[in-house]
Amino acid sequence: MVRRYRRYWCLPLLLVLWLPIAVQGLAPDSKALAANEYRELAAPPAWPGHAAGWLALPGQLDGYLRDHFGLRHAMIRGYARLTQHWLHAGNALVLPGRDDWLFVRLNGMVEESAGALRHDRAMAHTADVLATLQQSLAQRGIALLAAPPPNSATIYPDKLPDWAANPGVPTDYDSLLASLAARGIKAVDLRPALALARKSGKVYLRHDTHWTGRGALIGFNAVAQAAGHPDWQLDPAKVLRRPFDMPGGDLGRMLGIAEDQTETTEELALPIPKVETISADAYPTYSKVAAHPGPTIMVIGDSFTEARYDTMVLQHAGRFVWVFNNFCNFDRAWIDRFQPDEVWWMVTERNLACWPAE
Amino acid sequence: MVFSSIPFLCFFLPLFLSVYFSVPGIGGKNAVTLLASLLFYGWGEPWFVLVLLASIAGNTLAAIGIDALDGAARRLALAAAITGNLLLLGVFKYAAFLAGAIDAQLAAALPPIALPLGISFFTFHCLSYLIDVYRRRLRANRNPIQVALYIALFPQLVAGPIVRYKTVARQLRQRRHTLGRASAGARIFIIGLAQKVLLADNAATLADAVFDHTARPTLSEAWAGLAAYTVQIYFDFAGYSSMAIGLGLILGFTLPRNFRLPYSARSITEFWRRWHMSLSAWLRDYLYIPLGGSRRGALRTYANLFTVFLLCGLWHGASWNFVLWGAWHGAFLVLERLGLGGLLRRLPPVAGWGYSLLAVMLGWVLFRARDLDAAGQIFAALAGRNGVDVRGFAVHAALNPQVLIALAAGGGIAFALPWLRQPLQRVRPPVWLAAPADAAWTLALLSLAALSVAAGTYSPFLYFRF
Repeated sequence: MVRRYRRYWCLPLLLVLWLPIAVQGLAPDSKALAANEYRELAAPPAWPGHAAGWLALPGQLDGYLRDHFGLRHAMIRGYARLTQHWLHAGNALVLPGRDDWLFVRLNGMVEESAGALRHDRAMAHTADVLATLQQSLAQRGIALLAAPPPNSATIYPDKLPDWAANPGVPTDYDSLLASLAARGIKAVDLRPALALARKSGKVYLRHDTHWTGRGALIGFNAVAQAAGHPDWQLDPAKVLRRPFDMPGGDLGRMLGIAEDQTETTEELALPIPKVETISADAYPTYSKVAAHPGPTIMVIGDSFTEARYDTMVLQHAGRFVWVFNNFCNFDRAWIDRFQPDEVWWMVTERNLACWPAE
Repeated sequence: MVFSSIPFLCFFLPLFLSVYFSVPGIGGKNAVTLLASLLFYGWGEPWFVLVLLASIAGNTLAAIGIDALDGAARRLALAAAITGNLLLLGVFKYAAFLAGAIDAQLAAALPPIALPLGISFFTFHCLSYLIDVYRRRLRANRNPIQVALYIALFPQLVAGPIVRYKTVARQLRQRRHTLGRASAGARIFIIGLAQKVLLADNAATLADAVFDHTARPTLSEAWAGLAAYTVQIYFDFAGYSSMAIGLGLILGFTLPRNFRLPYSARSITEFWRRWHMSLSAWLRDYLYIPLGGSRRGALRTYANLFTVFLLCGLWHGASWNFVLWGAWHGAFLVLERLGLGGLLRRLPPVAGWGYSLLAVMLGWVLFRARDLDAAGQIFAALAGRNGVDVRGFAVHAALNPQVLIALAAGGGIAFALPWLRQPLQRVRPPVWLAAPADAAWTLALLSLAALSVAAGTYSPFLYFRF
């Protein structure tokens, strides 16, 4: 009997199949929605002018169709809500932790923080690169300080699933600090200060790989102390403004749920100095100058220091120069140009190796 | 193009079905379906269409030639046609493997040859057509579009089932299109899509974690990965077959059933009557029986069975893993003929079920592992050589609720359903409840599968090295 009722199944199915084409024609997703992916959606393929073009056409069309069908954004979001909000499944890039914390899995970063994935050879190589740099800087009277910001999984192991937490074994971070010490390179371990500061507020974001304004500040204070500028340290109570809600971060975006996320965080309330961009790379090197005289500080870093460190450093320094580490392939010419007084090598734990993957 | 993709589901299928049902007459529908099949086939690698067209043209003419000849000339024509087909398959699929088996340097010297999608399937279609014409079971079709459509019909082109020409011969000339058949086909297609996308793809997460991302899996990891792969391969393959059968039905073709609860088998002999049934039947009719089948004494029967399954393994892929997998199944079939089968029939059903499931699962290790070394690692782990507990990060991460739900559902359907089928059939809810419930769960499957396929297009830019 049920079969009689199934007789018309194909009609709604045909309608459902046509829906994406119809919606794409009538009300396509806005470009703002596509911006969630931080990439340009595939452009329509050009009309092929030669045989090779015809052979490539299906591949190009496939990419275009995958990016342009009606309800794409709604369906992606619906699936993400189902699998992430309800099932906390995570994906190949992101590991869901306790209390709504997310951690990045890419390139074994959680394993690195847990000490389950070691790259001792790569850490020794990084230390060698820094030793060469220190030698060259020392000839010009420039001081070098290494101060790698840790991964969030290193500072919040209790927010990881039990199996992913470090059981108390050394990690790449320890290996690098040991290698640096063996080569006489001054380094500061930022982990104790950040771990201690957790008591007073969140130092890393739950839905993002980066530290909060408080975390950056605690890191800065530890670096300033180690660099011999204890007077440069900033009081969190004075320079952090009232907590506010910020939208979902990079980890939420990796799961497709950033639009549904907000989290409370703190940001620095310091005057923003004038920017002088001096290169046009993907991550441009830039320099900022304070109104007062003072030493020139160069930070070789990544996304952890690209922002906020300028404002904190320039409270006392005269010039701040930021250079992208780029697997230790940072452009040495900027050292010649700016003749900094100090170089702070602040490359995050996840980027410590001087080559993409060991 | 694959069925579980946005270009197929959201563009190819609605456009094709609309054109197909708008075109009057069977000739027009055949022409539209053939063009769509060539587009479907050429989507991934356009030049492979030339290989397919060459095979179609060669086999169409060869069948006409065989049909027109008699005696030795007929045999010679068949032998030449079979050789041509096997050469095509050999060059594209087995050249590198055979060269490697002879000499590693020879294999390295060979230019890399890409494998045309579905070549094993359409070659078997062609062979069965030629042999049936030779055996005078049917006349060669002189309509090239109909022969081309038989070989290239997109629902079954890349993953089967393997369809005999005589199964669809009448439907190529005349077939019925009704709402009832289209709806039944749509329903089967949705179930197949859900099997592939919701069960197989999720189970694959755990299987991949163990087989590809765990250097020395432990006992529990290896068994979990193997169980996941057992679920994955069944629903992957059966899902594709269901989608093919459903699409075929919408177009008016009755494609053969390919799976019948294979994990309920109580012997390996029974397993092969339930798993990839169109291949088993093909091997029986075109290889086992011509070799003499069971008509030439026990020893020859065992040799025939073993040979057929060695070749069955090789058909699945050009590597020693597949050869060994075929040998593994062949050996069990021989053992069952030697008396194990009789013993199993006397034991309680659960003993036979446990035996065949274990034999099939251990065989999947050879089927799934990267190479023989990796298979050895998994076998060692299954025996507990690397410890017991779950240690690998990849395995821990793969054991998330989404995967566990898929495994529970897949395992329930694959392993428990056969035992519950009869009691469930006795439950007959009233139509007012059964009809909306049936519609609701089918719609839910379609919605979830569509969301999952759409989510596969989400590809955010990664910048974690910054």
